[in-house]
Amino acid sequence: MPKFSRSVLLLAPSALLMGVFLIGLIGLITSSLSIDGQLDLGHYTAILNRPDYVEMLGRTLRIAALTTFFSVLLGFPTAYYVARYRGNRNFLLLLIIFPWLVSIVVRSYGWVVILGPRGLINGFASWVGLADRPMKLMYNDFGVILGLVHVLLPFMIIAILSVMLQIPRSMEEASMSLGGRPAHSFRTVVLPLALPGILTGITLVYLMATGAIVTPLLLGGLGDTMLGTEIFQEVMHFFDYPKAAALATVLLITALGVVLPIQIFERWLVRRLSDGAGQ
Amino acid sequence: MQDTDSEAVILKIDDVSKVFDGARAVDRVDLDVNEGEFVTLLGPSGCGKSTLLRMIAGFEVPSSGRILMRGKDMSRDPAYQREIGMVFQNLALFPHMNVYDNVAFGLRARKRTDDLDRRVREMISMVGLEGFESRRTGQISGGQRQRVALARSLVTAPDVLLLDEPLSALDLKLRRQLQVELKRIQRETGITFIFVTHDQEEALSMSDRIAVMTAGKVDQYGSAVDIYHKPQTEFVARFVGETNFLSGSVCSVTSEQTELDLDGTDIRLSVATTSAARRQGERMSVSIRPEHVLLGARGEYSVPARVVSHSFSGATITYALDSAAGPLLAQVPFQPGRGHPLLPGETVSAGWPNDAITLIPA
Repeated sequence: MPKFSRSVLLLAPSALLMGVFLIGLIGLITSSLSIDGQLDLGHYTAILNRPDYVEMLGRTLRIAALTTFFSVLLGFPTAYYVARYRGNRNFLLLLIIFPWLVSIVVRSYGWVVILGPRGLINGFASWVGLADRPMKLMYNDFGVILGLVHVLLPFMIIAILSVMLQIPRSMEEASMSLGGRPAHSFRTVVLPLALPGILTGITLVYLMATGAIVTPLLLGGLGDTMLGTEIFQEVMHFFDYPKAAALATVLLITALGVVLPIQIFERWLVRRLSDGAGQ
Repeated sequence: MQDTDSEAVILKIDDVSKVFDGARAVDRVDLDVNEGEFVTLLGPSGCGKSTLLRMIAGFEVPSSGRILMRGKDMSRDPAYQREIGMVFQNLALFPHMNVYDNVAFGLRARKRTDDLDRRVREMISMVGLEGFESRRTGQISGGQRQRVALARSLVTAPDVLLLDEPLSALDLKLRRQLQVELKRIQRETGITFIFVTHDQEEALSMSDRIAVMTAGKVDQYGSAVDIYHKPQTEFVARFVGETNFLSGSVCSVTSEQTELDLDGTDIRLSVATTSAARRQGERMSVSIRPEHVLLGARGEYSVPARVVSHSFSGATITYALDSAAGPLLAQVPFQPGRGHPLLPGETVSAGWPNDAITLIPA
């Protein structure tokens, strides 16, 4: 019995936390569903009837998907390298999480300094005479994706690394000793074993990218904002809470539509793998 | 090294060293392995035996020296180009595959898929795992996992199979059982086995030849009987089985006989001269195995001794003796009803036959 009551005690803080989140979520959804105290889908139909919002939703999902794609592309080799690094791995880890010590605003603004019309690259290009007009490196999707990949890449690396470190080197050696060339070993052994980590990384980065506010605000164009920024502005500038809540709910549902299947697949994979790992 | 007679040398380790951060893990090792032989690399942890094995497998590159397979230098070939199988200490079974796919992996990786199914099933039946093909590797017992690892590494019919302490995680009974089975499979397939262990009993019972390693070097390479009965260094004598060391000084050397005055006694030992022999006046040791020490005035030599303690281990009793020549262990058969064991404090005469003595450089 004492063991039971202790676990109940430990449950209390997390229950409190979850409860507060849940209340917030319910509040959000109910406020988006009511107009003057009546149940009404008006906020949603208003959103869906505005082509600019639908386009914004599409752009948000597209930018999030591209950001996730490039994060995997850069994050996987990095995590693999770090996991198999024979020297001081903690130092590499420090380098990876070092950007977290700097706020997102500063990091995103750093790209403005580099990519801006009078930024580092354009300044250099015009000085050398490569371009007579500044190249449009930001205030477009390219700038936003670049900034988001920079901000979110550490999450991808850490998620993949945590799984990669669990894969003993002897797995690859076993494959090699059986005649598996590097590409074969990678495809049939490393990738399947690292997949749960990649899926976790995809979930994390995709969710954070869909909800990004600061980076699109600083690096995105005025005409083509992302949904997160729009919600932020509805709240902070126009105080239109119900509309913001409806937008947020739309964002939440579309994000879940992608993330939930991934999560279910990952659960299934992990159960299959732990089945095979033995005691 | 001694008997490279008519048999074909399949693997030749030629003056191989491996340096890690300035430390010599493997230090100028020479070793020949004949086709179909069961060779064991025996030594304490950190002696370099696993590093040597990993160089043969192709996971490490020698700092100097060459590794030849059938006369061809393959020291720098990648692992996947070598005709070598390996059973890992942690087995390294693929957890995302079932037993069948684990065993089939090597054939698929080498694209030898024409009669894949037949060969995989044949291998699975050789290790006695029929009916377990679709089990995941976590759903079978430790001994069965061992067999999967063995089948997986043998299915490609490698020239040499390397085994890195694969039995060390098993309990004694299962271990014995798998030792016998490993020997059987080795005989049936005729594949050359190189087995790494720190367990001297395992080495003695399974190997055709044993290379005893310490501090990166091979101290002695020979048959199990030679390693046990004619140890050439103090390390080999101490590491393989228990032994008694008695020291003395050389009083005469001829090409056949070396005479040695045993310290603390007036005994003059006369031993066949070996390469270990020293010049007159120099210090040497002799090794005498405890089971060769006889109690009661028997054997060519005998010294008075006092019983310090005894321990009973079923078939035998081991006495710790304090003799004029130094401390002695004597292991004698125990027959119930044939008198009681000697008690501490009793005096007894301890002797040994002449051919039980091995000269060891001091």
